Amino acid sequence: MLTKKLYITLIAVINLACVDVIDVEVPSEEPRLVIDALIRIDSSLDMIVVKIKASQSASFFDSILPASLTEITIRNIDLSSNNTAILLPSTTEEGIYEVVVPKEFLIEGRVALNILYNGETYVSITNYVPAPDIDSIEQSIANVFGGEQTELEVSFTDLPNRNDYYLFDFDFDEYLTVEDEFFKNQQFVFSYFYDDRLEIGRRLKISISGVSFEFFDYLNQVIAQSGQTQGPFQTPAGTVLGNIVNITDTDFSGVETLENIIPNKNFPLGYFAICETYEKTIIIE
Amino acid sequence: MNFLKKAILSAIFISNIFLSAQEKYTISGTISEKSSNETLIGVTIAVPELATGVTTNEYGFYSLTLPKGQYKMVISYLGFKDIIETVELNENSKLNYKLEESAEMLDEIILVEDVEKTNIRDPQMSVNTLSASSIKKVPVVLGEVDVLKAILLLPGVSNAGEGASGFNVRGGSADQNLILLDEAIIFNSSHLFGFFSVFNPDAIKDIKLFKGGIPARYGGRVSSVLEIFQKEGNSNEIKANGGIGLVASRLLVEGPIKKEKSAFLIGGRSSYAHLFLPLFDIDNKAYFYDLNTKLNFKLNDRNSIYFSGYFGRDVFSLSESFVNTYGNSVGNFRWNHLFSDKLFSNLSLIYSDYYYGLKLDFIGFNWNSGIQNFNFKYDLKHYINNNLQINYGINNIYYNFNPGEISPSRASSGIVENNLTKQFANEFAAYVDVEQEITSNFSVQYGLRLSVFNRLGQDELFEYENNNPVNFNPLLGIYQKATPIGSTGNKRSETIAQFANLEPRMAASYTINENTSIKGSYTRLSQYLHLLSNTNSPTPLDVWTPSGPFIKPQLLDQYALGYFKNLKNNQYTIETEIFYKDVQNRIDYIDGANLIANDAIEQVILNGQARAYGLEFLFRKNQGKFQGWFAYTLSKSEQRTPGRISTLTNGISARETGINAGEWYNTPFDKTHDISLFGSYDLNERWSFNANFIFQTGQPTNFPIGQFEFQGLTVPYFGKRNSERLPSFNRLDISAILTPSKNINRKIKGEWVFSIYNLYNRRNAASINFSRNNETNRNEATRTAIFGIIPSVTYNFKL
Repeated sequence: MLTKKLYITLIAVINLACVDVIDVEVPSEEPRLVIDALIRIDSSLDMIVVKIKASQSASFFDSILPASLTEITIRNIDLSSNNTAILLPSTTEEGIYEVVVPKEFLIEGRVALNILYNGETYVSITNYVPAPDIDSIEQSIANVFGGEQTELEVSFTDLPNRNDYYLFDFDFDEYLTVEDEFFKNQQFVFSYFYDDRLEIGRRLKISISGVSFEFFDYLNQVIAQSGQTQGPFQTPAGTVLGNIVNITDTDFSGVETLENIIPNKNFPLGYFAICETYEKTIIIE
Repeated sequence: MNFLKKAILSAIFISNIFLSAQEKYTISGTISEKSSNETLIGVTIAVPELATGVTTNEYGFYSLTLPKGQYKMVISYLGFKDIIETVELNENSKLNYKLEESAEMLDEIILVEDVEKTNIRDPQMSVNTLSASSIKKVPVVLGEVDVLKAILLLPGVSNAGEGASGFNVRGGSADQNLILLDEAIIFNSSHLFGFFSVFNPDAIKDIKLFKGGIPARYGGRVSSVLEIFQKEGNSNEIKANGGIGLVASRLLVEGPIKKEKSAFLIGGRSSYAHLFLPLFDIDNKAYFYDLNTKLNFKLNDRNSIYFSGYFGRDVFSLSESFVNTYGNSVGNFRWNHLFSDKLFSNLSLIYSDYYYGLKLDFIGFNWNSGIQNFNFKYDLKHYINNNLQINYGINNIYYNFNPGEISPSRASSGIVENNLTKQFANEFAAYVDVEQEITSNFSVQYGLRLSVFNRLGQDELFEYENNNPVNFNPLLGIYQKATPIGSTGNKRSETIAQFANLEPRMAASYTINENTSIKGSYTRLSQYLHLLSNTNSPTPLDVWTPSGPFIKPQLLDQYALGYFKNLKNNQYTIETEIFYKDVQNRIDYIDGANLIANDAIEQVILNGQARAYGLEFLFRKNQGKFQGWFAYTLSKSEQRTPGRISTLTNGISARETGINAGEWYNTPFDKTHDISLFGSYDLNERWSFNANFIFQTGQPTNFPIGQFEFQGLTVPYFGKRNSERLPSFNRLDISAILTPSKNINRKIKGEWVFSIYNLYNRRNAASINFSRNNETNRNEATRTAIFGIIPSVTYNFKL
């Protein structure tokens, strides 16, 4: 968060610098399986729609294609019965797999993801992470960075007595990660600025999700590498490895002992996480 | 150590006996500039009959011990008239000389000016000196004369690109340079995130850059030493000079407090208040300023004292909701004392600090961080005879690191006041350094430095299982922070980690003939402080961290060999060197490491190693209307961080991958070819012209090996680190200096500097970023080029 604002100034300082689009020949590798499995839990509901997106990585200038999975299931390994749910392909969108399960299935105990794709098996295991509700969102017009921007002043109260990591979704695929290191157990108020002034009447969905420390780390890299906070002097981090493991041709004997295997080198990308989420809708005035 | 010490002492002893057979006397004194009494560094005092001589030290002092007799002494210094004098030596004598600038006659100036010539016999190699006047000739962006930009034209020196702070010497990182301003350590050398350096060119007398063969009196950084000497002040008359440029204006006033006895100097520089933000119609500020002061008092023939100070700040503010202030402050006191005409001493007490402050009102946050140090130095130079000089001394530095203090910027913000754990350390060093002429064509310089670093107790230090703050997760193939199992607090007086290193230094020169020599050197250096930065060049927010229980000191071994030649009676010089260096314990960061406001930095750091090797070639024309140089560097700079041997995770032993699969990868400052050309031409008394050209292999960078989508974001991902390169960097800058002819009769002497930076407007890429354009919904590679063609004009004056 701090870095982001610093980079904004850096960019402002060098606004005499010129930026242009150029042709670059980029290297490529074989497509990898990409799993986007961020399951958001709305605590007010009893039944949750689990929606997971499968796609294939592509060379940077090529198009991304959906992946057609042979099988995808989730299983609560701490439940003794009714513990497995099979996700089915969406009828409207290719690469989307869905199932509806009771909330308890996702929030009590460890949940494993199991995927069969192109003859290879991938697994992951995760835990539910809670989040607080957003206390309030105030909107205003700011002109801190020149021109006018829509400013949202968001306040929420940190969950007590734990190390918390949060993901804010500000719509438009704009994200912000926050950790509670400096405001433990407090109500925290901060401002978020959009690049421009948003049009009046625009409906925005703002949400907060609880994330684990590992997922927080992953999100930071993903957000940075997607270019959102990547200042002119930032070095790219790397491959951005997630928490899904290829267990094909390994001595895998069950998710309970997943940590003991040496995984297959054909690693997938993406992440599997179950997060409590509170969403607020605001209309730009 | 004992053995080496004995060897050195007996060598001194033997040479003493050997030479004490004859009756000898000492001539010593100070050499200064006639009009201002400013002492001169590096003046040659030669005795041609004996083929011997010395140069003045940092305080203008020299001492020469010769057998009884009559000698011709030649005192020469670039840009000044030689003094040739016959001296009858039958007792110890004190001879101070005042050199006069070589007249107003331009032709004469051209003849001798700017001869930063190679000293053929001196075993010191890998060193470049630049005088303030040559620095001022180099055309620069926006006409703002810059010490750090001038040294980039020397072989073996580069930086991370335009607008990047710091510099890289022989493939080393920017934090491996020891930057000394009047002996005080400067932690951040840049204004405006790197566009300009913090050194006011008017206040500078001389700079000296050691790239290798670093004498034992220096230590603490492994790559280079950049020594910057400030002027002392004119003790004859009050003088002022200054300049008005596009970015900043400068004014410097100096003059006597008591004529010929004491002097003051005060110089200020300030940029204009809305620099670079003219397009914003909002209340904002972006500016920098600095202030240099110096006082000197010659108490008597044997004692002089100096006070000097530096204070600089950068200030950014956007509508008061984002305020950023940072800069260095330095204060020092020095006492030169002559114990005898052969024993010169200097005592320095130095305080310096670096402050970084940030107010982010939109998240209700104040931040400040910094580093303070208290430095005590005592250096002695013992001129035993004309073949032997011994330098020895001690140095103690106490550091206080403030990695960050956080406080709420307003009552309602929810931010809880929080201080990251302050760190404390003490660095002690003692050294002896011998310069000895063994035969008339074989000279050596050797020395030994003992450095001892104590990391002192702090309030909270985390403890980890197996003492390991970074875990490798073999399942996911990534490094992860370990969770502390506890923490300890220690008293400030306790040592929680100690490192001691012996650093031998050796250099030798063999003179083949009066114009040709070969030199070789070996240097070991240790560095106990590390700059935490995962960008290519330092940023103001970067935090220094001391070695300690989890971070080891960097250790360097450097070998260099050189061939030096003067041609056509010193009109041309050639310097060729090859070097190899190896740094152990170079820190590297795990992927996604967060270095800002991190109270447990050990959780994201791994110890790796770095190496660099290369060839440097410098051809210089030192005399005539046309002067200049051609520098070429061919080099390689790499680092690697292999996996640690094995870790036990749930009873299974797994080989760690290391960073970049444990393989060597290019450092961000690896530039295979680096060519720079600098030329200056004095057409007549009114006009002179300067130009420089730079060509460099593009900086290593990363291109994505693929992309994926996650939560609506398009994420490029990368393979092996730094395996691609930006397009090559090249640029031509020119400048013309006009000295109006009516100047001669005027009290105020003015000068116009017209310059054009990046003459052919090349868009040199500072970076290439890969991201999705949300408007076109297409993936793009965008190039950021910092400076296009930039014309500028500066007016300088003297009175």
